Amino acid sequence: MKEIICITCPKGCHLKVDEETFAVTGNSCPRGAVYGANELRNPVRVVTSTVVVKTSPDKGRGTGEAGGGVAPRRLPVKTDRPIPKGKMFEVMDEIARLRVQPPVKVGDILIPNVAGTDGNLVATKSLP
Amino acid sequence: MNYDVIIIGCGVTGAACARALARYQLRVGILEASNDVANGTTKANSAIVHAGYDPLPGTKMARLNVAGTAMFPALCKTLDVPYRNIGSLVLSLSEEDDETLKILYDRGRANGVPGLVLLDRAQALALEPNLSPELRGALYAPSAGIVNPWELCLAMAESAVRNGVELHLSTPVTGLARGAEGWSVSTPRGDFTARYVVNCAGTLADQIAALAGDHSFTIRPTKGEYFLLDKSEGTRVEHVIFQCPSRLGKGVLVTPTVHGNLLAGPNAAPSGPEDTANSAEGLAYVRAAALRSVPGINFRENIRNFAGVRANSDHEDFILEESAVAPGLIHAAGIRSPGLSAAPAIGEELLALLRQAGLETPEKPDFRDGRRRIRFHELSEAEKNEMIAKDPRWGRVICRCETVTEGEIVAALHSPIPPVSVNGVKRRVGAGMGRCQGGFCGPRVQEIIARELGLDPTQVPMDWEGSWVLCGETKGGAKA
Amino acid sequence: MICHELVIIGGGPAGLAAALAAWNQGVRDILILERDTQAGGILNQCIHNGFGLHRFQEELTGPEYAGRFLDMVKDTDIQIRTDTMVLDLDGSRVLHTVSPSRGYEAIQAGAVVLAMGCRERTRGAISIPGARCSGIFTAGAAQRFLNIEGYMVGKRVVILGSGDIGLIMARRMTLEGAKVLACVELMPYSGGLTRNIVQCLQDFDIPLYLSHTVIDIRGRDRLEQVVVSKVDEKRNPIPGTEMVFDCDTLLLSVGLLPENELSRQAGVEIDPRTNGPLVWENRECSIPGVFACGNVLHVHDLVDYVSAESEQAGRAAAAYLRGIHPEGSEIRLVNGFDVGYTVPQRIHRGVDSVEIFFRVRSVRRDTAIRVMDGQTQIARFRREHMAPGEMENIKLPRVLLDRIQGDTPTVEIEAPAVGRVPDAPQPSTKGKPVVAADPSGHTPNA
Repeated sequence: MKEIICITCPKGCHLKVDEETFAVTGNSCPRGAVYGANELRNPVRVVTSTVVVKTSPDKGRGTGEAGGGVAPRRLPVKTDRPIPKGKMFEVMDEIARLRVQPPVKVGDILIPNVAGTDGNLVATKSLP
Repeated sequence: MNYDVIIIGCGVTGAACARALARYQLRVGILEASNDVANGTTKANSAIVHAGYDPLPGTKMARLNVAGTAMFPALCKTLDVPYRNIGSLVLSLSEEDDETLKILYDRGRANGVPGLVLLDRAQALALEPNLSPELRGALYAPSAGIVNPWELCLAMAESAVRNGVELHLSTPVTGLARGAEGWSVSTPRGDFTARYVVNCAGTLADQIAALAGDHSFTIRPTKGEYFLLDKSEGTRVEHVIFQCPSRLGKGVLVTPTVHGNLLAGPNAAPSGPEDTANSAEGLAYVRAAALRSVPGINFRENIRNFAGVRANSDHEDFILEESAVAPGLIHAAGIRSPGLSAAPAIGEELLALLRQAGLETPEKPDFRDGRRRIRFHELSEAEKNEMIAKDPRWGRVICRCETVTEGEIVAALHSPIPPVSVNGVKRRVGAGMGRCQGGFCGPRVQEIIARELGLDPTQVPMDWEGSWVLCGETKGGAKA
Repeated sequence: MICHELVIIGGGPAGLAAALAAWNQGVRDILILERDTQAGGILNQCIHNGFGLHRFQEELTGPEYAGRFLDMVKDTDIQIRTDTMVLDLDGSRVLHTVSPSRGYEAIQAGAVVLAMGCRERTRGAISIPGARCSGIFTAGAAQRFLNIEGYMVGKRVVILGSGDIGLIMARRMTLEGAKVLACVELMPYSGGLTRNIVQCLQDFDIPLYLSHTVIDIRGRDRLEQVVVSKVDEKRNPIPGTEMVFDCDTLLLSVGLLPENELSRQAGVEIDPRTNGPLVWENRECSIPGVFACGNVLHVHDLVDYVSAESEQAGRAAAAYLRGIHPEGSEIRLVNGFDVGYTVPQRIHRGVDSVEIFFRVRSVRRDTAIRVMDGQTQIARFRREHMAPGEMENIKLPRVLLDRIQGDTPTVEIEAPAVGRVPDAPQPSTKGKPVVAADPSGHTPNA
C-alpha cells in the first residue's frame, strides 16, 4: 500500500493505494479514486522553466528610452502537456542546452517531443 | 610605496585623520582591510552625536567629545553629510536616576557642554509626549544630534582622496617592522614604507599594535544590538532618548535617524572583534528596555536588526598616544563611545601627536575641502527635470522605498571611492535601506554595479569580500 | 497640469483588469503607470503553471496569464507607461510621477485606481537572530534572480515558510540543480496549497517540518548553517530539538504586505487587519474617486480573484467618472468568531448583491459561515474545509441584504474551536516529506 495525499481539492484526503490493483481507500469522493490510481500508474507533471536568450551586445539596459531598453536574458517555457514525472530532469537537460533567438511568440514550439515524452516545449511569452 | 604617514583602518577615526593630514604637503596612504570604508564599527552604531556629559572631566574622552560635537554643524555642512542637531534627553525613571541626572548635569558643566537643563516631568513631556508614564524628569542637552556615520566617514575619506591621499582597500596589514628609514608595512598586496604609522584599526587595534611589539593595551570588543524601524515609527520621538547610565552601561536609547527611521538599542555583551550576529536574548532585552522609555513603539514595524562591535579597551580613556615601545607608531585605539562624536576632534588630535613626534606639515596651497552629493528626492521639480534632461537615468527610480534613482547609483559608482558591493551602494545612496530591504531593487542594483564596473553580476558581493550573492548563471549562461 | 480621466497605479494583473473593465464601460482616456520596464507585474517572474483555472478554464503560467490581458489591452487605446514611478498622490487625485523619458510631471486624474500590489516580509520583519552574512533572500527576490535575470542564488537551500512562493521556489531551485534540504513552517499547518506540497516538495523528497522555525543563522561571509528548532503551542523554540543544516542559502516565504505608502500619503483610510484601504462594495476607498483592487487591498490567494475584483473596481471608476455614485446608508461589516477580516468592509444599503471575501484564523472542517444581524441569522453557508491560507467568499444577494435591519451585521464562523490541528511531524531522516492533514489554499499565489 502506498500513502499519498489527494490534490484534487483543498481537503487533501490521505489516500491508500494498492500498488498492484490500484484500488484506493481513504478518498471521500470518486475523483480521489481516479487521482490515486493515476498517480501510481503513471504520475505526470507539467515542467516549467526558462531558456537562455541569445542577446546582441548592443541591447543592454539603455539609458533612457521608455521601457528602459531591456534585453531579456531568459524566455519562460513549459511542456504543453503533463509529461511522465520520471522524465522531468531529462526535460530539464534538453532545456539547458537550448538557446533561442528572438523574435519568439507565445505558444511557439521550441523543442518538439521533448526528451521523447510526446510533449512539446513551448514558449510562454512573446519576445519581439 | 613610500609614504610620510600610513593610516591603518578607514573607519571614522582613520578618515578624520586622513582629512586632517590632507591639508598638508605629505604623502599619506590609508590601508583598509575591508573592500570599503566605514565597514566596521562606523557602520553599525547608534549614529548619535553626544553632547558630552558622560565622560569624566579631565579625560581625553570628555575634551574630544565636546570639541568634536561642536565641529559637527560646520563639518557636515561643508561635506554635505546628513546631520540634525535635535538635542537629547536622559530620562529619570526612579529616585536613583534623579541623583544620576544631577551627577551628569554637573559633569556636563565641568566638561563644557553648552545649554544643559534639568527638566521636570511636565517640561520633559512637553518636549516628548510619548515618554514613559514612569517619567520623573530629564536632562536636556541641546547640543546633541544625529548623523549618518558612514556617510561622514566616506565624506572625510573622499575629501582626503581628492586632495591626494591614497586609499588602498582590501589591504589588511600583516606585518609592521621598524627599520632605519621608518616603518615597513606588509600586506598581501605588497609592502609599504612610512615614516609614521597611525593605528586606527578599531576592534583590531591591539592586533596591529602587537605586530609592532606593543602589548600595552587590549581591545575588549563589546557588541550592541539594534532594531531599525520603518519610517512609520520615525516620529515617535523627536530627540535622542537615553536612559540613565547604570552599572550595565549607557543603557538603551531610542532615536530618530537622519533617514527618518526610528532606532532602538544597544545592549552590551562581550564579543569577538568582528561578531555582528544578533541573538534572540539581546534583541528581547533591547526591545523591553526601549519600551520602558517609550511605551508606544510598534515593533511590528521593524525592518532590520543589526549589531555593531564597540572597540572598548582595558583602558578607561581613549588611547591617543605615540607607542612607548615603537616610536613613530601613533595609536588611536579603544575609541569607544563617544568615538563618533569625537572623531573630527580626534583627527586634529592625531595631527598634533604626529607633529609632536617630529612630522613637519607644510601647508598645501591647493587644498580643497567640500563635497556635494545630489539626492534626487531632495531636489525641486525644476532641478529634477534638469538632471533628467542631462541624463535620463536620473528619472529611473530603482529603490522605490527610498526613491533612489539609477542616476544616483551610477554617480556613486564613479565617485572618488566607488563602492564594489550592493551594501556599498546602499551606504552611499540609500538603495535597499527601506522597508523592503532590497527585495525589489537588489537584483537591479547588482546588475547596475556589474555594468558600471565592467564585472559579471556573480562577482558583485553583498558587502565585504566573500559575501557572495550569486553563484552562477542558469543553464551555463549565454556563452555555454 | 496634464489631465487624464482614469489613472491606474500599477500595471500588474490588477491594474490591467481594472483598465480593461473601465474601457469596456466606455472610458476612453486611461493611463496605466508601471514602475517596472514591462507590464504584467509579479506574474512575469511566476513562470510556473496553475493560473487562470477560474478565469480561462485552463492552467496557464504567470507570463501567459499576463499575456492574455496585455493582448486585450493592445486592442484598446489604453496607455501603459512603463519605467514610471509615482512619487506622490494627494487627496485631490493629483499624482507626481517621474520617468527617464518624461521627467518629473504632475497629473490630475478624474479617478484613480490603486493597484500597487504587495511586498514580501523580510528577515527584519520577523527578527530572525543570527549572523549578518549573505545568502538570505526573500523567496520573491530569489525568484526574480532565477527566472528573469537567469542567476542561481545558491546551491544548498533551506526554505523558511511554507507559503506557495516558497514551495514553488523549492521546485524551481531543485530543477535548476540546487539541493533543497528542508522547508520549515512555524505553524502546525502549511500556508501553501496541497498540490504544491505534493508537486514541489514530495516529488523531490524535500522534508516539510511543521511547528518548526529558524533560530540561528551562522556564517562569516556567506551563510554556512541554519539552526532549526521545534516550537511549542506558543511558537516558542523547544530547547533540545535543534537541527543544524549545512546550507548556503535561506529563502524566506513568510508573508506578504500590501504596499500602501501612496494610499497613506493621499489620506486613504487603512484597515489595520488587511493593511489595505478600507473599501465599499465597489472597491471605492474613503476618498471619493479613489479605488483599490488586487494585493494592495488584501493579499489574494488566486490571481483569478484579483482579476475579478479589479474589474469591479474598474467598472466602479467608470461609473464614478459618469457621475454615478452609489447611494444608501452605510452597513459596516463586523468580524465575528474566527474571521480575520472582510473585504469590503462597508456596504451601501440597497445595492444589488455583494460578494464578501475574508480569511479564517484557523484550520477548520465541516463548519459553516454565518451572517448575523444581532441575534437574527441572515445567511448560512456550509463549508467542508477552511484554512487561513485560503481566501473564503460568500455571496449575499439583494434579498438577503434587504433583511439586514441593523447597521453592523457580523460575519462569523459557526463552529467552536474544533479545528483539528495535526500533530507536528517528526523530522524525517529518509527525506520523506511530512504533510499536514489540512494543507490549505487552491492554486499558487500570483
